[in-house]
Amino acid sequence: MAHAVAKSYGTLKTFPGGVHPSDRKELSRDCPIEDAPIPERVYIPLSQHIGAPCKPVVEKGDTVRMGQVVGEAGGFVSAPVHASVSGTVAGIEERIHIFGAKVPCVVIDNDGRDQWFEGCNQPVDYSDWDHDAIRGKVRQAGLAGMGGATFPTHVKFSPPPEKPIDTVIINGVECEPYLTCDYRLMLESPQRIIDGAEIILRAVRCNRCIIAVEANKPDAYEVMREYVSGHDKISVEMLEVKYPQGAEKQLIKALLGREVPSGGLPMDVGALVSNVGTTAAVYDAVALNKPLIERLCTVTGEGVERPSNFLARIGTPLTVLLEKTGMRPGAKKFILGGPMMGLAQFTTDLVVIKGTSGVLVLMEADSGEYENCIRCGRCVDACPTYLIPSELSILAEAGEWEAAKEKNVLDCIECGVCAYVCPARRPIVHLIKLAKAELLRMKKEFEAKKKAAEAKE
Amino acid sequence: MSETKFTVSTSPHIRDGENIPRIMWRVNLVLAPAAIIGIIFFGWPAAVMLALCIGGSVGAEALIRKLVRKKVTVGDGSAFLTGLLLAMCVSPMIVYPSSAVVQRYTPSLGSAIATVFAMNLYVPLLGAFFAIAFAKQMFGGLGNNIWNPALAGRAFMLAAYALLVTGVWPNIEKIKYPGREEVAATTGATIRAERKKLIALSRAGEGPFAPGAAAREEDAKADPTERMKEIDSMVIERKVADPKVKQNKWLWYGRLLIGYRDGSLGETCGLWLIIGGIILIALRYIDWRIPVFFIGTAVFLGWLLPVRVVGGTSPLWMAGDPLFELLSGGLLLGAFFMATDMVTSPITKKGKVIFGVGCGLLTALIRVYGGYPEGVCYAILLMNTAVPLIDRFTRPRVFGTGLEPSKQT
Ligand code: SF4
Ligand code: SF4
Repeated sequence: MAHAVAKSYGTLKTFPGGVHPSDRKELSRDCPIEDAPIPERVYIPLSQHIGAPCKPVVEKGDTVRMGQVVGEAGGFVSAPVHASVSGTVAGIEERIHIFGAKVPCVVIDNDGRDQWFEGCNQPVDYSDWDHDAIRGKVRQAGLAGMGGATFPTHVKFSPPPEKPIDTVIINGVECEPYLTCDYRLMLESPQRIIDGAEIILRAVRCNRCIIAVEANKPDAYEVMREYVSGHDKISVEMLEVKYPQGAEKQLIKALLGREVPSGGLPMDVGALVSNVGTTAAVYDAVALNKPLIERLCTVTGEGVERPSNFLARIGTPLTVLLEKTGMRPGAKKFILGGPMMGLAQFTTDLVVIKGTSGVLVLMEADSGEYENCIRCGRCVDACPTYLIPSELSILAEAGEWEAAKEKNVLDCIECGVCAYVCPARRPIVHLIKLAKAELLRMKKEFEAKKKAAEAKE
Repeated sequence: MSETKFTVSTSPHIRDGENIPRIMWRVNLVLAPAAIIGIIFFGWPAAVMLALCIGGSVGAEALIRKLVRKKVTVGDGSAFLTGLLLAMCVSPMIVYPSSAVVQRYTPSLGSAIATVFAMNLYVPLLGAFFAIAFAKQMFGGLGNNIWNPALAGRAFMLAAYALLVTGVWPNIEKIKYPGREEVAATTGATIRAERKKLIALSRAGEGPFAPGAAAREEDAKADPTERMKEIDSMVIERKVADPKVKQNKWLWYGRLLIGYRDGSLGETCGLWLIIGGIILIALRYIDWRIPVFFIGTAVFLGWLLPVRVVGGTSPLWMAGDPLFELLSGGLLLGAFFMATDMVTSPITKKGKVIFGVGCGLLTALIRVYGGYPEGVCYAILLMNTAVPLIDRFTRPRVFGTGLEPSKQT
């Protein structure tokens, strides 16, 4: 499926499969990053990443400052959370989280003074830091993947010695339609990205770094190229425009031709992928001692009157952002993330968290009606994981979880490509997620039973 | 603003806009010109056949869906397509009344009913009903059927009304519509059947090839290669009236290409079938692998496979006429519009290659050695049956599995 985009750049690398949705980035592409309104009250959820939730370390009435830890990491695969404003802790409150369930949040009343916690937001000389020091700082700063997956960053930076990293990939692909904050970041803060990349190279003791940009962002490509000129370790590569190129495994395949083994991690093939936003945050954390208390977030979609790219404090209610951008009456869908993988929400009563790359308001919603699979094969041709999504959806529909597992349902990256192309409009990803959840439940049950049996003996 | 009701559903939240009705109606549209050209060449019986088959299919679909209380899906265009394809793969002359029927007709109800039966108007309706009811809805409707419904309908008609379906074909040389004077507008054999018959006669040394037959001067023990050539020109001699075409084989191929010849509607206008097929490939509604491998294999083997043309001699290899194999019979319709049916062909690209080759192989075997002059229909139906098997053995390698670590860098 070679598409002739930006032919002037010659043959561009890409991965097999995938689709070319209309990218709709024109809505917000030319909006410079602006500071979002800082709310009177922020709500910092204690679970913002993949992995163990945090334990609160503040109490009602405590005075906190920006960058102060309010929730301690709950394990190795976890990241602390910090106060994003200075003020007083109003309490710890259960609030609806993006996955629909309730999670505890630290509520902080903003005193409007924006005072930093001691030592934060000051230049640091890290020239003699070793990789452990860098990793420790990244961990303290609460970094988690900002492309949306929110995997704790320091875990990625800690490959075991038998799995050396030979290539660090800085992901500026931003393949989700509509979203533009990574693009704006590349245009407006290229130096932070490059400095961040250098820090990552040091953290994992690697000598090669590729910054990947898709051909629909030629200006970002040019800017990055300009800034890396003279660097012997860092290069910029333009890729063909195709969704889901920003998915870690697909990006590694496109750039290096390597396939992350089924069930494995990028480090298994010597690669580390870091989103441009995360990379800039690594720089902020290490060079400026700034924990992750704010992030870029695109608020866009046909249902938004003035699409914008915001720099928003973590914990900012989305309603605050939407007041600024305006929302059209009759909006049908409210999505956190992009249109291909984002999570549809029933309420706007949510807050910005570390993984909130975009807020999308759409005027159209599917009826949800669907037909039998007509075996057209479009999903099979497009699946970047080379699965047979049609079959998986049929098995899941019939509740044949084990059979779905045999057909590699667990390898699905939930990119949404299959459902996007399906002419029968089958909810393939929904059914696949269902099968995965059931399999997880079965596995847990099985393990619990095994434990119980062992305990008896 | 929090009063707004938002739809909550799983990602993705956008779609590429393709849907089943659009695909099916577009395929109908692409196929329509070939049917219209058929009506131009063969006249009103073709139009009647099309109307009956399409009406029968759509009616059967609506009726059955109503009976089983499921959503009536005739709007998706798939029943229409089944009817269209069915009409195109049988002889339009099924509904052509003999002169006796015409003469018997008087304007009365009884006579009208008798004429309906005498004209076999119920035969295409039954075929369409079988196609929809047994080959499609019995399996659970579009998507679940194993066999191509139109071909299943054709096979049913062939089994139930063999003489009618294979015995009468429009004779392009004699048809004059409207105000037709000529009653004997039907013929006993298509060009494929004619050729097959001649080869059989030649092998047996009978008919025109009998020793001392009037038509022949040379010895019956002719050289097989020469005999084959002779047969090929005899086909033209017998099937064509125009002396210019008789002399120039290329003109004959040209006629076959535009569809000026005996046969079903779907054998008409190979040129448009090719154009239409290319359109469908460009729209990505069919995969090029099926028609290319199907046609390639059938034509190649039709040319290659050994045939015994003269009794007592060894079989002759490489004696087929590739262009004849390509342009005669239902190969183009079958390869572009029937074997490519999404529901009844393999889902993977590799599977499509195997499927195409299999269809071509079976077609050639039936054509060269089988009892029927044409094998496309049965070849496709047989390969339809093998699709689950093909799918099982052509599963793609899942990303990140089955690769040697050494090849990873
Ligand atoms: S099956 Fe999974 S990996 Fe394949 S296209 Fe669908 S969502 Fe993407
Ligand atoms: S795209 Fe939809 S209809 Fe086509 S094969 Fe896949 S699941 Fe079936």
